[in-house]
Amino acid sequence: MVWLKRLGRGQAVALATMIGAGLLSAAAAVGQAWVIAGLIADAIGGAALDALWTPALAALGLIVLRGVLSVLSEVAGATAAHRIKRAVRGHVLSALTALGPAWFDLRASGAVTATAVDQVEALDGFVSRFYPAQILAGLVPVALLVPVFLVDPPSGWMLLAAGALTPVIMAAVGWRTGVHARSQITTMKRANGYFLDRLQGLVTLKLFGEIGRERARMRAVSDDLRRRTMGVLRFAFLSATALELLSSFALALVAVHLAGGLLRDDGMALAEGLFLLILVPEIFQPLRRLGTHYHDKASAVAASEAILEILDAAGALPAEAAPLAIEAAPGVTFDGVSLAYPGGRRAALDGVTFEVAPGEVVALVGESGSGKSTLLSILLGLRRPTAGEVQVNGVPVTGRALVPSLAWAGQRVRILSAPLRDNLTLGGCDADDDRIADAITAAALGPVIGRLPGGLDTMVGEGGRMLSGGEARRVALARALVRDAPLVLLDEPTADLDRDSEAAVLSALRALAAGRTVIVATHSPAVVAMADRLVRLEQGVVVENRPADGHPDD
Amino acid sequence: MTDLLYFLRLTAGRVGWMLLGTALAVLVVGLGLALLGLAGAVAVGVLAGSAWLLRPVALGRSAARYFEKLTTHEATFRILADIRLWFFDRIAPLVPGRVGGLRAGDLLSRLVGDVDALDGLYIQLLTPSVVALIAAFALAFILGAAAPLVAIAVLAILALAGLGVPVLTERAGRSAGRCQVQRASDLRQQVIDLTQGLTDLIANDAVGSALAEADRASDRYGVIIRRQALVAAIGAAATQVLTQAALVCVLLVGVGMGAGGSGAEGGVGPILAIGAFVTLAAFEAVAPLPLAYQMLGRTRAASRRLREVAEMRPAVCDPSRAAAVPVETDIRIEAVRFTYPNGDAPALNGIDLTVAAGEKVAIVGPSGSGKSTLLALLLRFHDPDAGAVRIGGADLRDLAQDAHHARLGVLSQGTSILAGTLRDNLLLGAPGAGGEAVADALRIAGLERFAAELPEGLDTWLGEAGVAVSGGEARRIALARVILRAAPILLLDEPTEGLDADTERAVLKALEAVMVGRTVVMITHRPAVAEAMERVVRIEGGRLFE
Repeated sequence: MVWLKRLGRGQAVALATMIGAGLLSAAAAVGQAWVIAGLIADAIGGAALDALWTPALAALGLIVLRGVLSVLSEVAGATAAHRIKRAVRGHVLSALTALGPAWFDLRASGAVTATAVDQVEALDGFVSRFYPAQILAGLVPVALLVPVFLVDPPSGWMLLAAGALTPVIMAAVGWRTGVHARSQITTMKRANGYFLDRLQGLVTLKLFGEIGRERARMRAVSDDLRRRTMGVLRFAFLSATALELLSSFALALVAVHLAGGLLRDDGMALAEGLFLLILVPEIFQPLRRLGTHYHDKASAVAASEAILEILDAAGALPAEAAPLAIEAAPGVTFDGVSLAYPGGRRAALDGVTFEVAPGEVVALVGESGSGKSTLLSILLGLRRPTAGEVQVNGVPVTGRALVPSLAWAGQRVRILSAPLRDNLTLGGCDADDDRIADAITAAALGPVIGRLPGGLDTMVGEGGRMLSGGEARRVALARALVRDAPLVLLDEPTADLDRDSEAAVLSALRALAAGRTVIVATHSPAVVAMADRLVRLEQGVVVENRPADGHPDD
Repeated sequence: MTDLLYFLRLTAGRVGWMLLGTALAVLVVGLGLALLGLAGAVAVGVLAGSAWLLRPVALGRSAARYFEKLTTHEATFRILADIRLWFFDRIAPLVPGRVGGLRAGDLLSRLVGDVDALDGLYIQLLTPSVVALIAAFALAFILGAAAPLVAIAVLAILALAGLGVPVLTERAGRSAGRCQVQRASDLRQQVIDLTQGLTDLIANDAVGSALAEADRASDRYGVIIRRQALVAAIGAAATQVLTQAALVCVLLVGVGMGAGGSGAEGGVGPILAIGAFVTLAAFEAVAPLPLAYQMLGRTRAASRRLREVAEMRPAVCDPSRAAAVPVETDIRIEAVRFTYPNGDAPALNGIDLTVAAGEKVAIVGPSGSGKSTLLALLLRFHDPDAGAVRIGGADLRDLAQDAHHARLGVLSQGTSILAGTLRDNLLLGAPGAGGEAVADALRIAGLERFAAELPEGLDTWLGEAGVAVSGGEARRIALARVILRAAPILLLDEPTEGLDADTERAVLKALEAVMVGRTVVMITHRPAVAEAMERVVRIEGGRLFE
């Protein structure tokens, strides 16, 4: 809530515009009520039509002025909300990238998507509607009571009493709304994650004849979401209803009181009575608006909790270390590196110690789940070891300090939907054509490019030409060559490839290994055969560390 | 409009809720007319004796409005849940033959965002339109009897507010709505790409550009929301201005009538007061219309995106009368030709292959040779363009897909681990399997230690937001699933791909036990794996070589 208000105040100009427009509109409302009350009184009093034109035009002028003011206020609100949502979404996304994949170990990515998209959107109602409405609800009714007291103090007291009830009603309804909104948002995030998971696994569900049962589960999830949303709305609507009722009763009260006064001949003038009647709804209007937008606030508060969880976690990260400047192929030392996943069943890495000499090619082997990928992710700075450290050229490495000096090709190659050239120069825009050409030759991509209609400028990836698994792997290796980094990390570069593609990838690998330090996680005997050293992991422990076959122990 | 009618038909099951909601909405407007009319009358001294009625009518109106909101929202959420299930029913037959190309993020965005956008259809559009129409008639009736000229003037302004403004906002919102739906989907996709591809982005120093791209998507979406807010603000302000102008108009016309001598002496006052207040109530009924019609564009775009997917023809359809699934498990592929819908060369070009019941056949070949296509035809993800695929003598096209899949055990690298407990994942496709069968399957698949080490054993939550499962473990879980399914035919797609030599040996050994007594077709490019089979056929360029 504090954070939300700070966001709102950050947009000072917009907020001032909204408040200013609201106050001006209230002043115009007094004028309008006065003119129209006079108009009605004159009309009833039998005035001629000609005498009414001037006040009628004045009333119309005030009416149009109020319309313009309300548009102005809405525009200011929408603009502020747009700025805030964009900034917050940017912060959330960059916090997620700072937290890295480790953040997703315990969270469904569908739910995180919901936070970055839908929860941020939920801030809109607070910024553009609830917050200015809250401020105006404190100012406008008080300001409008002044003319009421001037005209007829008893009416003023009645309205004041009714107005004083408002905060009580709001508070009574408010806290229930908050509780329900929170549980509704949790359910919504879970439902989002659930839907994404089931869509991704739809083929599996189909093959196992689970579509029918899945349908039932999906209905249950939808029903749960509906029940919780209704739970929120039941209370949110109640606050609007209570305020509406209060406004109606106040109107009735004043009307009856005035009727009594008007019937007495010594009573107030008809125009004054009508003026008060017209003004009553205007007094309650800001309060009712606040009630209408109350669930905007509840959703925004609940959303801000989900958002702040991410922002705070990123804020608590240790400061990112300065990048290490590495010129030549570095030596890498793992010194008692251990890592346990949160909620994991055992340590993923347990006291891993070994050395990689400068320029060496080390094959990391071991059963899947033995810790190979985890070890690489530490070098990438995606995870922090729970004990021990990694040194590069004798200097301890923390965070992502190594990233600028390393090239990486993972198991799932990310092909951007962009021209092939951009896919090769990813992260290194200064690459010249010669280097690209060399990389293409070394990665045996020549024939692939030859087949593409537009050569290097052909769009690939989504919406372009899809690359086969082997082609994508070679693109990843060519990327690493273009990047020309002294340290190369590869995760299963030849998995899923047939023998011809594997041979092409191996030759690219050989080119890449020249003059660089390479650490490659692999199952392939052919890759192991071209390595200098083999390190075998078993359940996070180094069980073998020897020169690879064909390399004499030195 | 056809898009909207299409979805209105889907709401047929909730007619009761919708009628109740609309009836309550009409009641609200009716009580509003009564309340304000009465207040006007009381204020000018007519009907002063009925002043006590004000309170119950006010209470009734507020209560009716509360229940109206609850009912219309309840109806809307029920309708949305129906549509979501309906959409799920539509996409299930489309995978993987048709929507394999659509990204999960895009489908999610349709399943969540677009379905939710349809809420405008009933709650914002249908009910308020009906209510506004009824309010207009009520106004014409009440005022028309007392002061026809006033009625005509007010109705003219009411038409402006209830028809003119909505027509304008509808036009303004039409392209914006389409844009809004598209941009929301783009943004969601950007965020999913960013979060799921994070490792690669960080390792390639590409975080900055990906963030900038997501920011652009966020900005584009925000701009359209802001534009919608502007249109909505103008629409609301216009309605408000017209409402107040109508009040002034009532006075002027009323006085004009009085001056013209058509009103009785002193009778103009009550007509004016009641007319003014009734006018206010009637305009309250048309106030939601501009926003509703502005959002029509968005609703229509969302429904079009849903229909786009829902009306895709599945790659394969169940026959109108499905044949009984034969007991025999011999596979006959007869002169099969197949070209992918968007492919230029045939993926399979005249394939003949017979696998006897109980036989174990490996199909080898380089990637792109047609191995996976052959498997897809056996799974009946596609139908051949020419020739036939028969199992037990029955053409797959004559069988219900579910019944066909029920006798298949499939193990492939694409098998998903679903978010859920280990038990849920194992029992997928064999919901009735007992504890002993599960224990056996765990043992054969080599998962005993894995299961024992899990913090909550079989009830440990796996997958996203649960315990991460390595590639080898996932494959073993898939294998255990197949064992529990006890299907007579096994289709194995590179069952050991991505596994290291030790795990590969272990999985193959487990498979050996599972394959006994079953008809097996395995595709692989690894000679060592193929050796475990009785017969090896080679496929290359869409043709088969024994």
